[in-house]
Amino acid sequence: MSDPKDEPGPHPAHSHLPGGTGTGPAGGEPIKPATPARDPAAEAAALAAFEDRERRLAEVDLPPRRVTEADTDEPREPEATETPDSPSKPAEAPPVARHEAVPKAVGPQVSGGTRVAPLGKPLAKPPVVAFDKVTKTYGSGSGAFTAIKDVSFAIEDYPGRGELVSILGPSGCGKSTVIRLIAGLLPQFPQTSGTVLVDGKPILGPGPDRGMVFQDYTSFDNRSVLENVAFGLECRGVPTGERLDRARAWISKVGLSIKKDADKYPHELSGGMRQRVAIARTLILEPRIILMDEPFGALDPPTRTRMQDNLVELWREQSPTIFFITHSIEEAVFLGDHILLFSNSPGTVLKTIRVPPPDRPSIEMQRDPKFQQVVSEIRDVIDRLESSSRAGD
Amino acid sequence: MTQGGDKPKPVAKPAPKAVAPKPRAVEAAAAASGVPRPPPWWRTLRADPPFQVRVAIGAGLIAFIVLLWWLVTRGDAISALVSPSKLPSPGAVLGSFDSLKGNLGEGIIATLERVFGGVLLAAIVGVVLGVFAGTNRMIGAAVAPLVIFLRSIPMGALLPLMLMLFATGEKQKVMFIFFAIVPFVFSDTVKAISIVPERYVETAQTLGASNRQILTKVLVPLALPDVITSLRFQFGLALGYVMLAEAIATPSGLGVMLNNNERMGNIEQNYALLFVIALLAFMIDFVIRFFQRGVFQWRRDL
Repeated sequence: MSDPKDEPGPHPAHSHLPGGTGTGPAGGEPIKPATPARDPAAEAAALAAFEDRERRLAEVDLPPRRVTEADTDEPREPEATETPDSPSKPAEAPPVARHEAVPKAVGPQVSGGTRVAPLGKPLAKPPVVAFDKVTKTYGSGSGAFTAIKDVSFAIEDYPGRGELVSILGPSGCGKSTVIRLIAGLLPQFPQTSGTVLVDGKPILGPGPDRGMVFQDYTSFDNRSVLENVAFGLECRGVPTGERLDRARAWISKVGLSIKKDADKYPHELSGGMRQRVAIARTLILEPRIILMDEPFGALDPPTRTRMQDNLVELWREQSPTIFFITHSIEEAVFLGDHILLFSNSPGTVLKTIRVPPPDRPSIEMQRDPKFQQVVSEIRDVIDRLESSSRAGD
Repeated sequence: MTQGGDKPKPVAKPAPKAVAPKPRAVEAAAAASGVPRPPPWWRTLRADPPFQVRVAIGAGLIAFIVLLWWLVTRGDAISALVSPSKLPSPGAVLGSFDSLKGNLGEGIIATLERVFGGVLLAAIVGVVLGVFAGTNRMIGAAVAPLVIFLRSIPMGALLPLMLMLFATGEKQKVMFIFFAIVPFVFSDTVKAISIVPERYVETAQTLGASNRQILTKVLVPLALPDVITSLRFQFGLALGYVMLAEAIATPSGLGVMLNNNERMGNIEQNYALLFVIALLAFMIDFVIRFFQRGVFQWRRDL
């Protein structure tokens, strides 16, 4: 498959998304072939429409991320230097990214399973997570059910900064299967066929390097907030005093009060507070990868946006690679560097969409008409894909 | 902290009443002001009456039964509606406490020793085995038929065997209680371990807990309140079983006293003893529950 982006040379005016998001417009991106069980004609039409829309999407003029003096605590390069696409620039365009010396803007254009090295030199390290033709089937014979089929993607590993990958797709399309496979949790793990690599190595089972935050509240009921947050350190054998000190620090980092909340039990907490505990409990172990399965799905909208802002803040500080499943397109667009768009069951990656990373508080960004336009464009794409596959049922 | 707006705001208080209006007047005023009144508790399904009303009707029924009791046992052996050899009068039962007092304490201690012994033994064996069977389903599958068999044996049917195995000493009674309740303690423990949601286990796994740590830090602590509840129920049943065991060749105990009274036609004392036993069972249950609530404050349903 000859992906234009494999070539190191500059592209014709591709990316009109300023802020260095470097979106490859749909133009030359390979499209996943429609899954057999569906109506190929309808889906092809939908994908054609998708391409058209994404081309227009790329022209949506989202405001560039501005780095001001106040931003200095965040080691982000002023990406304004990288004007929306510069065809005249040589292939070795200065790598620009959120963190210094990271080729973010020219980062990998992951699409339809092709791992694409950033323009210029290829990365030395293996991708942090790589799926290659991963299929998961439950049962056998006539009762067999395929949750995901030939899922391929690769998320690159940049030192000092992780990607935030939103996973978006219709209900029951196998989104959870993907992240539970990465987590190594039964029965999704292991896959039926294909390879899942984390740091180039196959997964053996669950581990603290891959933290997970579930949608349902999983704070241990018999432990106080403090003891919940310290749980992972306790399992590692960190001495009591040290682990409680570190847990206290994390309690305040996720926006809870050390004084008021640390000694509370989960049943005394609201849903949002419980998820804050879950996030602190995961992040305190400094995992490379964080898997979030609709963590804010049960929260009311104001709480949700606050949690999004808090997550972005913590993500920048710790720079893990985050996989974030959500039903909310707004949430996916706000949080994500990428959006992995999944098809109906059996799930496949239909599309990888690059979106501008969060540069303002969620509420503010979501109020931006341009942001809303991106959201509604993606919503149209999903609607089309869903109705096309329904027609094929 | 973040969910300040979650709680519904208290409904605005009704306007302060004017000089103690009569109920009818209040109703009329309410109707006039257009504020609907909630239906009273006696017309609302599953609504609790006020505390005083609850106490009053509970005590009222007891008083009514005692009154009835007093009425049917009034008079002497001939004129009373129910013969005093079947149902002595309340006064006679109350009076029999005097003669009962002498060996009551000794009886209570002897009986409770047996019950505590049996329950403790059943707790150690049943809970330990239950935890293993609940976490390792292979062990669970192995012992499941055995446990179903033991659970299906009627308690009384065990007694002759216990007599043959352990003769008539203390051991026989403790073992009888042990065998009668250990299958139930075991299955309740298995269940308590099983119903801890899988999510907690998965969460612990992704936080780096080993299987052993998941068992000791997650499963057992979360299952413990249910296990204690099971032991509390089994304790109540064991108190019943011990009366059966004490019916045969026993020097002291509440069951012995009941049997001796029966033989001597001392029916007043038997009624009195029933009150004592009921009160004892209630008090023990109350004390265990009190501690259970204190220790497991995170479980609000205990």
